Amino acid sequence: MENSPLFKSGHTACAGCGQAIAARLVVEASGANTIIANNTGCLEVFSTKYPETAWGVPWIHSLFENSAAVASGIEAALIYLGKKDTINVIAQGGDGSTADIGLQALSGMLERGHDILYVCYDNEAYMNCLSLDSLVMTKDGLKKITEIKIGDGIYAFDQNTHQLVIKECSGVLDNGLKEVFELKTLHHSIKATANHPFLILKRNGRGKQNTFVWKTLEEIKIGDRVVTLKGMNGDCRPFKFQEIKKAEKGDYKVNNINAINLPRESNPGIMKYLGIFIGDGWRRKGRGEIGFALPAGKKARNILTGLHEKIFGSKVTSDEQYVYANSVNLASFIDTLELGQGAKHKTIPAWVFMLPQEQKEAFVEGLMLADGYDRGTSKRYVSANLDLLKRLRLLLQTLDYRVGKIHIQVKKKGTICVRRALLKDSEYGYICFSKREKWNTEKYPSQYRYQDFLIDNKFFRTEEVTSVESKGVEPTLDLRVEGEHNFIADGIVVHNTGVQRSGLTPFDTNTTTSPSGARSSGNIRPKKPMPEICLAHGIPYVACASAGFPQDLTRKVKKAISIKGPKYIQVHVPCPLGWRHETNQMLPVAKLAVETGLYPLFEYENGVLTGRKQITPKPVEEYLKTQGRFKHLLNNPEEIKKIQEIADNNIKKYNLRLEV
Amino acid sequence: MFGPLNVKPAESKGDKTGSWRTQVRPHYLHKDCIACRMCLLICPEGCVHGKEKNAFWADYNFCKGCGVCADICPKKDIAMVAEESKGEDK
Amino acid sequence: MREFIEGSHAIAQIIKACQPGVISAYPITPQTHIVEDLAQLVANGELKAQFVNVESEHSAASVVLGGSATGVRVYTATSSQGLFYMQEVVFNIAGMRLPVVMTCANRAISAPINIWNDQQDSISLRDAGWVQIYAEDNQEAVDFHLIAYRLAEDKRVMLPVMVCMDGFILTHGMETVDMPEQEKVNKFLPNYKPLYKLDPAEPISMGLLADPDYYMETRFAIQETLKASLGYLSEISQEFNAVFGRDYKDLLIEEYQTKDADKVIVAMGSVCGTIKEAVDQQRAKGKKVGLLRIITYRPFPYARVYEALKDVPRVAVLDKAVSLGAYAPIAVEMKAAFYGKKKGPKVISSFVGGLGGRDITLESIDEIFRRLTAKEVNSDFIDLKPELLKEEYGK
Repeated sequence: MENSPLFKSGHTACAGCGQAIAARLVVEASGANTIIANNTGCLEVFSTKYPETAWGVPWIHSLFENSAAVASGIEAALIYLGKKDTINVIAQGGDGSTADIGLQALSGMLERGHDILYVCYDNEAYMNCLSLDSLVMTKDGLKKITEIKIGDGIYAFDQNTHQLVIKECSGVLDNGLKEVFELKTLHHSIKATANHPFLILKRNGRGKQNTFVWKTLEEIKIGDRVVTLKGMNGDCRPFKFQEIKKAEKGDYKVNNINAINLPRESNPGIMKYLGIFIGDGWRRKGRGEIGFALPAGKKARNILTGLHEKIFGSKVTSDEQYVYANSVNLASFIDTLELGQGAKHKTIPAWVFMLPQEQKEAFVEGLMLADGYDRGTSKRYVSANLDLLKRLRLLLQTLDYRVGKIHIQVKKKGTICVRRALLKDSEYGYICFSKREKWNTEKYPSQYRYQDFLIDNKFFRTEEVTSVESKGVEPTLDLRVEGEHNFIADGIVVHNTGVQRSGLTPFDTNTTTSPSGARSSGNIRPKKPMPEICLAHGIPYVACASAGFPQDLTRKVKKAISIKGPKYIQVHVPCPLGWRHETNQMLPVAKLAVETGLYPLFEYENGVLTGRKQITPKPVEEYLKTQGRFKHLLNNPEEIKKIQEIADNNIKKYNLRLEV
Repeated sequence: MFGPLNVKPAESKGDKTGSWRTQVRPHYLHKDCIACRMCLLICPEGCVHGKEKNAFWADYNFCKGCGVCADICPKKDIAMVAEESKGEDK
Repeated sequence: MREFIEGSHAIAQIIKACQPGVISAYPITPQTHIVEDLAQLVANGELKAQFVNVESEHSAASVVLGGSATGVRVYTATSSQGLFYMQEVVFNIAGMRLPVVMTCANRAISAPINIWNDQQDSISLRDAGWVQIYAEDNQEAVDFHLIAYRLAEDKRVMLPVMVCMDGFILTHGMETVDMPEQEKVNKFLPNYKPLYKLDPAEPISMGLLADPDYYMETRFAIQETLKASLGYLSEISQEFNAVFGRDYKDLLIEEYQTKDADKVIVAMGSVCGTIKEAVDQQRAKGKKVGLLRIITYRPFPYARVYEALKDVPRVAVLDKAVSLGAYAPIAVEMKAAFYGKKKGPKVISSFVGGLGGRDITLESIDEIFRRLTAKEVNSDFIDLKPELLKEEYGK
């Protein structure tokens, strides 16, 4: 087989992807006179992202679950055109789209007797993602994950140098509704699906260098240390304000200009001013009204008045309750800063996150003047605007503050609040934070280094995981980041990918939706017996193959297409990402599945077992220990025994044992 | 008409996925090759070329450095070498 | 040739004349007679098509999708829940620009389960990117299928078309229909020559993943094509008239006694027959009333509607569907057609009737004309039974 063009290089499968190998072998074995209908899934996404296609044969994708039906239509059309005898039709999909959502269409195709080969690429799970409200650190500051676009510069953790680097975002993937869990450390929290990988400190014992490993959320134990962001100092700079067209007296509706100077770029003074504005200010742009709800006597009033004169070279007016800094130009200026409108919608804009430390601190000081108070050595900031609190929390984290969680409380209806009785129960939140003391690393170097491996690192620290809990089903997204394959979401370093249980997920497998835990050792059911289900339809050919045995797979595909009628081949395809093994371990892993008897390779022709790959069975542990998804089983002899029984049953059922 | 997003394979050049390699690449030693073609068969990218003994090569424009070819080679005639070591490859 | 024939039989006959290569459907009342007949025609060898007996509507739509992508003329028919079950594929077919033609035998939506006629099913799929044409009688239902294939397969269009006909009222109603002769059909509707197809001689990939860089343009292209289709429809109907000797104006709307009318009812589908009769009766009494029938609901003919009704002071819209919690579907379009325009009715009142097969009688229509006063009403249900509404659950 020359590098023929039926499945071309340049697709975007992960390195060492078993499915890419199998798909290529299948189409090469079937030849150029083939039409393929493909379900939605990894294979479809990595092989045909517009305007690229890896397929050298006519190929169609419609939906997640209907390739068997689409192929039925193709076959019917070919019969109508009188071309069926010369063209092979293949329907293919992953295990989920075959055994779960697509089972009905597959069953219909088999029962109707279409001359189609159905190939199931069985990677034993749905592959994975972050909750939509995650905030991601980018070159332009903090952005919602939903706002990230391909090409954006995203901050990532360089796994060799442990430094903060900017990498390009090369993909935004919508992963749909998934169950999400909240991971909390003392100062951070993030929502992600259970299979989302995080960077965890691995202690390699006394005298050895510690390293970092990726662990999925479900593998993380309370007490593990995740890598979090502590500072941004390296890349920070003042923000250049957008120039606005200044209004002049005599312009439309402008009778009176309250002349002010506008600063060119941010400085601590203006940041403190804006901090107060976010807490107590309002603006009505059309009227050029800027006001602050600062009653006479409040400390912030004098500070604001002073700042206003200093920065804008203009005077404020005030009454008992309010301070007014009315100016058309000031209103337009503030309008460009993306601070949001109204108490519930004010926000800390992305650019604030990229300011130098002193400016950020001045901003926080301003916020505190408006809505904060001290409580002993700790500070407390109160707001009914939860998004604002969340962003403030992340801002404080980039300043290396210790920040507690967001506490939510409810003020009952009727409580007097800003001189008015509340009309209904109203929710508000607060966060407490304090400056982190510097550890004396010179005096106690090793102790502190043990506590925080990254203590000398300007940008990152490790923090202990304090809890992981389910937060229900939410829409999720994921990003693909070039080079480092990680990014910083909600202040925590996360890997850019994800695995959910399907009907073909093996017994005791740890996936997102069948996590192992105190009361579970993973997926509670054995694999759905798809080959048997297909056999029960009375079809002429059913086979199991493996990407680990390429010649066997090729032979089975060739045999299948030589037979008229519906055929089913299920190919075991390792997924380095989902199964958690090294990319170059694709072959050993695939082979061990067969050699332990867990994935028997057999052939049925017209309902009779006509072929099987015989083995000298190896213990199932040898297979299980090669992959992260079974790691939780290795100290659990009882569960291993159950899995060994599955293998033993297979060996007996298909008479796999090689007689010496 | 824009919309059906139909693509002819001849018009698709694919992504140059060779840039994904971070650590290692396969180095075809061309010493003990028996032209069994297993490397060509197993490559997930389909980027291994060659017909004759000791004449197989991987297209580094596309090779993602997974190492499966080195693993399957029965004569151990493919070595995974560090990405930095340039010069000796094809 | 004029025949006294049941609606469903007439549809099966005209589909036979269109000679599709792949037919796939899953039986559902009131569509059943159509597909039963087609199955029989295939079994008799009178129709050389592949009839694929699928296990669900989802697969029926997927089969015709696959057939159409392989370059063959295809046909499917469904109704109500069946249409909803294939909804995923319905959107997909339009997105992939495949010229599928479907008959929707309009039926109410569950729950409660009800097999009788209203137009909730197809109207709920109005955003799918399909052309939707609503027939008033079986003659139209027959003719519209020919026009549907012509429009769908037009190289400027390449979009699916749904011919909607009221379940039972039309599908099971016996009427005299002038059945188009095969030679004329062949003349009007030549063999399908696909613009793109799955063919190993010239391989293409279809149905690719479009990221944010490409997705919007695919939607925009369908939007623009649909808008332009309004023009193509009148063009094709003129050709149709020439071949078959009929008198369709443009297949977008029908104006019935609207020219000097004070009050006009806007409606869609078979109910327009009843309304025409009511209009005639009122006209006989000297009342200036009229009917405007929407024939093509998607794309919606805003400009034609505006021209037709711009000088009519009061308009009543009768919907046989409801957008629960909002204005009724056609009423929304009517209000949009006049919004911000110089001329237009002072009053556009909206009425909902005939849901789940409730009869819309001449009295119902008179009632609508009576309730069409200076005071505008919205989604006002007609022919309700007040005694049922008094019952309280659990008492």
